[in-house]
Amino acid sequence: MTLWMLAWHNIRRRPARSALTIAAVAIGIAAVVALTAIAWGFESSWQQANDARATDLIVTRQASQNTMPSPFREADVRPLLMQQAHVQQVAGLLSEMLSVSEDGPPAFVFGWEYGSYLWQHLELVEGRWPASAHEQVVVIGTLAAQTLHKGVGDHVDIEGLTFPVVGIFRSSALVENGALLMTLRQMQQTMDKPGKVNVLNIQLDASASETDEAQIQQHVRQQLHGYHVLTSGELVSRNAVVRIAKAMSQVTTLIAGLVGALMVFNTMLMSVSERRREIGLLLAVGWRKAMVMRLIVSESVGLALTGGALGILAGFVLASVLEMLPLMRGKIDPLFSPWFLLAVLGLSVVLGMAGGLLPALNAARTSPSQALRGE
Amino acid sequence: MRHDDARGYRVNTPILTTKKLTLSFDEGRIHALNGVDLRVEEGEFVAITGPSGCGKSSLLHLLAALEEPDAGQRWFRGCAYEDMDDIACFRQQHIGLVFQAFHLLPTLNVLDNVLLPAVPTGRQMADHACDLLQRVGMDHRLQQYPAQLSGGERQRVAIARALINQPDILLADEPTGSLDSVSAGYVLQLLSELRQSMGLTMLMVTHDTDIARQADRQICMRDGRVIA
Amino acid sequence: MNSFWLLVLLLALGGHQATASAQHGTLAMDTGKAVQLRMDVRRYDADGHLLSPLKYALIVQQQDEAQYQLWRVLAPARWRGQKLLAHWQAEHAGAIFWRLSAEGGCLRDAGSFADWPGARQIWLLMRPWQTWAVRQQSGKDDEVNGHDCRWQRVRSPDGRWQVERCMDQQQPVSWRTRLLNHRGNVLQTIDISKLIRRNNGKLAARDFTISDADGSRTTVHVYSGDEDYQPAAGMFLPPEGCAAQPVLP
Ligand SMILES: Nc1ncnc2c1ncn2[C@@H]1O[C@H](COP(=O)(O)OP(=O)(O)OP(=O)(O)O)[C@@H](O)[C@H]1O
Ligand SMILES: [Mg+2]
Repeated sequence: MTLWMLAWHNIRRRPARSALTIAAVAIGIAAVVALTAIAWGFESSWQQANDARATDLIVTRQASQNTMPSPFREADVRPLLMQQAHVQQVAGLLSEMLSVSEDGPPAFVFGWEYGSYLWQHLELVEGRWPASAHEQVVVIGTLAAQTLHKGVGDHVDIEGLTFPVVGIFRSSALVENGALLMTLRQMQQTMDKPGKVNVLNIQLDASASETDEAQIQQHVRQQLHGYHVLTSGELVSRNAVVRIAKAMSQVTTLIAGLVGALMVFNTMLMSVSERRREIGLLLAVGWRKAMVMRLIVSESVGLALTGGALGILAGFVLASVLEMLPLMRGKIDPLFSPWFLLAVLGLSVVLGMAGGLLPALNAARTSPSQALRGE
Repeated sequence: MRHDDARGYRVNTPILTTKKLTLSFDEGRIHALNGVDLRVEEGEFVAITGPSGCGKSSLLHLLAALEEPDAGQRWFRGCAYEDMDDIACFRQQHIGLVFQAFHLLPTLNVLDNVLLPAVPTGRQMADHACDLLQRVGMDHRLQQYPAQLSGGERQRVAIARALINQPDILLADEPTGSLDSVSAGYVLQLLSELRQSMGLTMLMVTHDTDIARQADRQICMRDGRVIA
Repeated sequence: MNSFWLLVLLLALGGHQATASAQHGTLAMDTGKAVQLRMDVRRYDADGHLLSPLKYALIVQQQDEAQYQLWRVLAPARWRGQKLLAHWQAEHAGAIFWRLSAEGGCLRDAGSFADWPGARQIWLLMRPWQTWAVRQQSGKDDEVNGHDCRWQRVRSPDGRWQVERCMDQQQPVSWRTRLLNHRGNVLQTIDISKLIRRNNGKLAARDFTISDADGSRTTVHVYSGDEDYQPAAGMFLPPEGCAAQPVLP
């Protein structure tokens, strides 16, 4: 017979009420888990894309709060970048989110500088690459092929132009797997943005150290006004969608925590007032007040922890379901790290403690004499 | 000659002493106790009788430190209750309580109910609990729940629970009040056997004069006072 | 759980930079500058039926008092490449325009462009309201789609048009704009639902809805843009021998 066993007996004693409380906590935790995993997955997917491209530094227009960086004239910036020490290659990129099918959700369309290192990390699954910078063709990611039901030999309409699909590629980055890719020249023509890019990717040579990187960053910042020079990691963490997704996961965590704690609080308060006599007895047979408080908090933590565990499972399911939705396909890649799951369990413990504290104090204030006299 | 025993209490002094204990409710409108002076020797069996509402339960609660008096003093083996730094510990080590209403926890089985007072100690007491349950004749029902037991059986479990921490004093508030005469007789016999074998001091509130007569001493109360 | 659907929506809409002035529905621009916008236009008739959705590319250039616009249809296929060229004079409420085929020739039967669903609605939206004098500065306070705003009234120089707009008190945004004729009847209501910040720091509408007096509705979503467009030489010149169409109402 231990305190935990007693707590568990008490939780099981009111199955319906406990189940409801656990469900409320579980729903909150599930939302936290799914949303956070998605937010992190989204971030890490972008990060992977950048890592895979072997990009060290990125130049964009000073970001407004918009989700994709504004286009700028490549010629205004490239010469300065090429002058910097250790810069091996500068590759232009123009990206847009466009609807490429009648009914489907918009997809990423990328234009990458032909012959640049950006293409090297892609793996061709089928067909071929564009033969020249001028060829009006696209290659599409494996996921895009699935969602658009297109294969090599099919055509896609992009902004009123028809592009034959000549190849299907696979990338380590989910964002790219769901994207359509053409040469930068073609993309500029299609979008009527000649000479424009919205990202310049810089690859440094192997001898460049982190201080070199920081130095280049500083140099370029001083000389280029109205532009951002970021390491690829910084770019990802500044991405508006990543930021919003993270902010939303934080807000959800806060709300779920509050609601969960309130539910637990309410349940425990009811339970304490129902069990006044038993609590009086525990005090009468020599339990300290602190022990009684521990019992009540153990019960509330037990409730919250069970809810947390179930919530993690539900969060897994929810994130996987969302991942499967056609609308979200290729845009999210939920990430569940063991540390995160541990933190969520930690959150449920905190939530249980917070919810159980006042009821526990209330229980400890029980007068055993009064409680045992009561009918 | 006085000397201190292992627990630091003086021997040869009464186990329980009270002086001018008063207790009132409803902001002094109801006087439950009006100056109770009491002296109980080690190993004594004292029966407390008196009409309903005369303050018997109140006295037991004060002795068990479940309640604080308005005025007056209590000593355990010469040590004033106010001077004890851990009243919960005192209750746990020295006091066993038996109630008319049993107060068993319905969610716990017989064994766990008996073990309840030992939970804070963290000690493994299951063997001792089984032993006690055997002595009260309930060792064959360890896994059953209070709802499955008769009143007499429940009280026997409650007695085992009161004894699990090997108290010095057993305070019993109408232990047979809810029992039929056969069960009552059995429970009483059990209590007196246990008292003798364990060297317990026992204070028992009862309405039954036959029972009271078996005690070493009877105390009669009226209107919050001891009258005999 | 609301935040879920917000996220879903956000990811679905994805990201882009795009511009259309939030201020009055027109493009408040510096002279000499040109912008390119791409928009999805969906027109619903009074019964809520979706007419053929359209995608436009719009290029606008401001030259002193004149504004040049080139509209090009990207979708659907049957109008793909057709163009509308318009010259506006800020002093006048109207414009002259030419309709061009995909090949660049004139379309002679270009009396109206009612066959482009939503075109007329957007067209009216392009009126250079920003130059019209404010007639009545502060009207009553109101709330539009959850935004507090205050009504004000402006009028075209020739007195034929009036515009009422509900201005945000913190930022230069008209959350609801009403276009009235000279008799004071509301012809159109424009509600802005989503803003975007341009490179120059000004706000622009990214999503808005135009409601007509007959109950029909046009939604516009600006999905791409270039605030620093380099127009090709002669881009805004009408082809040889094309007749200009009269000023639109
Ligand atoms: N919580 C309380 N509030 C007010 N009055 C109380 C309270 N508890 C006890 N009393 C009163 O105190 C007096 C003594 O009560 P107590 O329970 O000690 O009597 P008793 O002798 O045990 O009676 P019984 O034989 O019926 O159990 C009674 O008049 C009772 O009404
Ligand atoms: Mg009583």
